[in-house]
Amino acid sequence: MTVGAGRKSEPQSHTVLIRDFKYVPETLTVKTGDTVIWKNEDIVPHTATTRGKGFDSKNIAAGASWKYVANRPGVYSYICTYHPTMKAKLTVK
Amino acid sequence: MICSLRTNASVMMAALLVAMSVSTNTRTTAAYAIQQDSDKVSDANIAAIVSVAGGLDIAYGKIAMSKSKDRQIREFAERMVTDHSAVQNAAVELLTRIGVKPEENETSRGLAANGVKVKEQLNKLKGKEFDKYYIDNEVAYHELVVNATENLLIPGAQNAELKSTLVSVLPLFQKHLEHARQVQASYGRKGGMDNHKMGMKH
Repeated sequence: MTVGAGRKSEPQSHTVLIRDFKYVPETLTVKTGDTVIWKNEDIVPHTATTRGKGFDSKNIAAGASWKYVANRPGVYSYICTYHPTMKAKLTVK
Repeated sequence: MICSLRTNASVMMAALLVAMSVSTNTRTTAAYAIQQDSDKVSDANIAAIVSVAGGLDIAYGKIAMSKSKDRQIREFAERMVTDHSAVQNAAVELLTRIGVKPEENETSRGLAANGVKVKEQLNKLKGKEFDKYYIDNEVAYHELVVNATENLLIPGAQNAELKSTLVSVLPLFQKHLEHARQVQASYGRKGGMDNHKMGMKH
């Protein structure tokens, strides 16, 4: 696991649930080097995808998870490309 | 509280009938009509309604995937096929487990009859006219499905697991409706809506 520059604490793991067509929580702030796990609890597939630079989970099947190590600081608005009215934000400090 | 909800549901359904008949006059969408009170719908009827409604949108989506040249329409249609197939599979699994066999009623027969008309139109229309009809119908269809799920199916469900499953799939239908409206608005901006309106005036 990559640790961000100047970081003193151990990297943490955070979980975003995808439930009832929502990201829970819809806003999440993590430190550089932390891991974010998106867990899809719906019966249909979803994605967690930033519009520009950032990340793209591609298909997260029903019941599956996707893990991302947040190495770049920034504010990332992301959507589900399959259901584009699903929106959330990840802030990496 | 329950009486109030059911009264509202009846009013809502009556309003839907009026709205749909207006739409039909302009050939914008097919008529969707649910003329039923949640008091009179059984779990077996709900199973039939869910099955017919889901099957129809899968059928519409498959036609759109094969006919439309518009990437946004095709992607939306593919999503409808994927998601409604998942709901259908989950419904079959649940209904089998709780021992409920679908039983047709006025509502499910009405939906099926409307579905025949919609499929006829989808098979007949081409190009932008097809895309416009498809997405307008998707908006109308999901408006009805959301309203029916909220006001007819959930209040009417007797089996607790069936009721909770209907509650859990409601957000899916609501997101589909939002997505359909988004595609519809986008399609309008691209010119399809304007062409359609012009065609409807004459």
